[in-house]
Order: sequence, then structure tokens, then C-alpha cells
Amino acid sequence: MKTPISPFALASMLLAISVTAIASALFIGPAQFSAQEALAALVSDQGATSAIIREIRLPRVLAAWVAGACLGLAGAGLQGLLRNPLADPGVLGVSAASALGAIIVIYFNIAAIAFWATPIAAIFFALMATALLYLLGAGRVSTARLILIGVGLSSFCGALISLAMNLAPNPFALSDLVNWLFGTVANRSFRDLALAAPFALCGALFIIAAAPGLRALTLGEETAASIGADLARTRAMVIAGAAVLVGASVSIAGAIGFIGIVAPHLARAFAGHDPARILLPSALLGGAALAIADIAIRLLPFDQELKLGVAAALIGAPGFVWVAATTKRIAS
Amino acid sequence: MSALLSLQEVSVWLGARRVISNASLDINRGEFVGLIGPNGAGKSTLLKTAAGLLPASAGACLSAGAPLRSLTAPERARRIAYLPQARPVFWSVTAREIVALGRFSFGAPLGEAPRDAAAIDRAMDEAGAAQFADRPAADLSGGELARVHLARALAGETPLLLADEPIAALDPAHQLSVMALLRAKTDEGRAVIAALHDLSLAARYCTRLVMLGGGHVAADGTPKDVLTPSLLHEIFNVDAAINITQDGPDIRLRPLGN
Repeated sequence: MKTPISPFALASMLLAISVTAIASALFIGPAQFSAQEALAALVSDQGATSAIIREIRLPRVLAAWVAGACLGLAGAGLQGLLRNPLADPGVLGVSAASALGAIIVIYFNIAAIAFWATPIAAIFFALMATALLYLLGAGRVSTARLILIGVGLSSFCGALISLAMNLAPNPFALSDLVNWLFGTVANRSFRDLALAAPFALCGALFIIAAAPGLRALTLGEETAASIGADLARTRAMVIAGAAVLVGASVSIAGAIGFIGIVAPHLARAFAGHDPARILLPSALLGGAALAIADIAIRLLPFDQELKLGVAAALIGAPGFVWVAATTKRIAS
Repeated sequence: MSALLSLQEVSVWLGARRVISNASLDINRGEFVGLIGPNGAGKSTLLKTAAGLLPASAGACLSAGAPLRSLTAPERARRIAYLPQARPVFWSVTAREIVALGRFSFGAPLGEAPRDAAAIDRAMDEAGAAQFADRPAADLSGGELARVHLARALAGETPLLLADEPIAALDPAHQLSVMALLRAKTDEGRAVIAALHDLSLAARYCTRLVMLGGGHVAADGTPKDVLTPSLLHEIFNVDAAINITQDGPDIRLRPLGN
């Protein structure tokens, strides 16, 4: 067997890719700056140039990176818990519920009253969805049934979102709904980031604290319990952590799919299959992937900018099919 | 000194069905107990209850005098290793990574101390799994995985090992070597309870047999006392002819009425 790259080397490599992607995003956009101009504008006040670099491009690329990292980590955690490489925040209905929260706030015009209402609603609905999952039996029923409950929840939230779009009073409301549904990081500010960052951090800590339990779950729930893993705690940590991560990501980028499936799958190719060891690489890969995807859509010569979530799905959905088709079953 | 494991008047209800009825057992160091009985007799349920994974509906389960329910999960795992009948592996980790999970309750998943590494390597050696330590689980055959799982259960070096059909997926040579290994472990002073379907191997290697029928302990004693034509007739619904030979008992079974 090929030896996986050492965890430290892999993390440094992915971090370097992320920093490179974030730095190069500062040079790209309708206003043309050289690398020197962009750097100067970043570190010192250069008037309009600084405004573009610091207040438009930097928050935009950071938002893409943070949203991707949240989704990559949430996906890796949920896959470990559910022992299924196809699990992602969408599977448990958490993404759909979170997007529904954002859309309700927009639909009833609460967002116009308080700028923070949308992100808070996204996080709150993600938490509500997971609390509901938990009440419906996360502590008691099998993992397979938990997935089915999630599928039902996801469909229900999807139906409510469609209802909101059907009833949307005017084209502006509809276009706002589309932004949240398709996912975009255009026009994000540091204010949006600052609101989501504490949640993202807190969710990340939850998932990382569950790492040993996830490793034990490699051998199934019965063996994991017998070797001394606390399954109830692992389940609670991963579900709560994923909810907060998804809520944070939806609040800054809207609903973006497939990063939660593709990032852990790529991480496994480099870090091995141990569900504890792929957590950090999945987060870094998810962040880098979404930052790079956002650069790509800004370079595409379309009149209307492609939505980030659409770009992620165009790359991610075939990846999902590929993972589904090539996952090997292990003899038991 | 109290027994390694003591089940006192234990009953287990699964839903509306009473799977174990008033089972009492004391297991001491040095005993290799074969748990035998027909399908559905309650062997797996009894082992799960003894491992602390299923709560007893009535009665007491004590580990060295302490109620199993009073122990924390890691404490219990350091006393009792459990090898379930269903042994899924969900991620293609290496054989050695699977065995290392046997040291989970010692903190091995966070950092492998030299003592953990030594125990893991020794267990892999004993179970005959050392030669594929670095192979991913997806590339292992059913028999190879069975040996990896056995090594995982041995790696914790617990005083008591509960094994649910440890030799079911193995070829005859490996069945014999696993039975000899479990016997050697009990000769060192550990105790093993293994659910077994092969009565001849159970009779040859076990120091004691417990026969379950319909959730009751139907017989408990030396292989010679338990494997009698009348008990085999009553509990297993087979006719048996038993010859004691130099290699141990030779048991021939026929369907009833032939």
C-alpha cells in the first residue's frame, strides 16, 4: 500500500494552496491592478484601489474559503458518523433547512430591517433541523434510518422553498431567493464574515473533539461501543458541529452543494481512509476548492456571472456520481 | 476473590420477547468456556449482555464484583474485549489500524505509546495477521479480516474475551490455530467465552461448555458432562453418537428419527 503523506506535510501543502488562491483572487476583477499595486493597496491605504482590494475582493475570497472549509469539515464529520462516503450536510436535510431559514427572513422582509437576521436565521434553522433529527431518534435509531429521516426533512424544506418562490411578490424578491438557493459570495463584507466566523470556529471544535469516536466507528457501532467509545457524545458533537458549520456557511454563501462530498473524497486519496485523519485536510481542501471555483467564475467571460453554487454543482455532481460508482465494498 | 464475570439470574427482554431467562454464570481466570446452542438460543444476546452492550432487564452483571453499569465505557473496555458476530469495516483503513483500535480505551487513537505498539504487534503475530499489517481492509479476504478482528480483540490484553463465533469464516487449519490460541490465552490466566457451532472443536479445546436452549442455561460443566446424547437430543433436536478417542470426543450427529 502506498504510504499516505504525513499529516503535517499535507496540511502545510493545502494551506499553501489556500493562501495562494486567496492572494491571487486579489488581482482578479473588472478593475485591473498589478500584483504590486494590489499588495500595496492591501497593506496601506491607496484610496479607491484599497477599497476594492480590502472591501470587495478580500472579503469575497475569504467568504468563499470559509464557506468551503465549513462544508468540507461538516461533510467529513457526517461521513464518519454515518459511515457513508456519500453523506453530506444535504443528506440530513441541514442545508435545505438552513436555506429555508434564510429565505423565510427575506420573504417576510425581515432582512431589510436587520442585516443580521438572515445569517442568524440560517444558523438557527440548521440547529433546529438537527435538534429535530435528534429528537426523532438520533440517539436510538440506526444510522440508516437517520439518513432516511434526513431525506424526508430535506424534501420538506425543499417544498417550502418552492412554495416561497411560487408566491414571491416581485421579481426582486425572487432574485434574492435565487441568490440564497444557488449560492454566491458576491458582495460579501467583513461584517458578514465576522458574524459567521465564531459559529464556524465553534462548529469546527465540536467536530474535531469527536475525532476519536469517528475513528472507532470505522468498525461499526457495536464494536465501537465495546472498545470504549462514547457513541452518544460522538453523535451529538458531530450533529451539532455540522449544523453550526452549515448554518455559518449558508449565512455567508447561500446553499452550496457537493463540497461536503468531494472534499473528503479527495482528502482520502492523500491522507488514507481513517475518518479522524481526514477532518483537517477536508476542511482545507473544501476551502481551497471553493476559493478557486470563485476565481474561475470571475474569469469566465459571461455577461451574467455564474453563481458559485452552480459552478460547485457542475464540478461536484459528476464527482458525486463517480464516488457512488467506484466505492468498494469491504468483505465482512 | 470475586469471579471475573458473574451473571446472576439475568433475564433479557428484546421488545416483547424474553431472549434470556434467569441465566446464572460465574467465569473465572483460566477458563475457556464454549457457549453452544442452536440458532436463536440466545448465545449472541448473552454475550452482548456480558459485554455491557445490552442492559439486563433483570438480574445482575458483575465484573470482578463491580456492576457492569457502574463502570465507565473505557473502564469496561479495559476489562472485557468483545468480538461481535457482525464485523463490518466501513473505511479501507489498514489491517494494523483496525487492530490498533483494540487499544482505544488506552488512548491509542490519539497517540500510540510503545506499550500499545508492542501489544498491537504481538496480537497481530498471535492471530496470524502480521504479514498483511499494511494492507488496506478492502484488499483483505474474509478469512484474513477474521484474523485481523481477532487480533483487534486480543490487542486490549483484557482479562476476559467474549467472542461471538470467532472461527465461523475460517478454513479448518485456521479454525484449529484460533482454538489453540484461545486455549493458550486461558492457560496464561485469561478467560474466554466463545459462542461456537462446531461441537467437536468445542469439546476438544474448551475447559467448560455452557449449553443454551430457548434462553435458559440447559447445561453447564465439562465437555463430557454437557455433550450427552440426551441433552443434544433435547436441545439441538439431533441424535448423537459420542465416542471418546485419544484426540478428544468424536461426535456424530444425525437428524432425529433416522
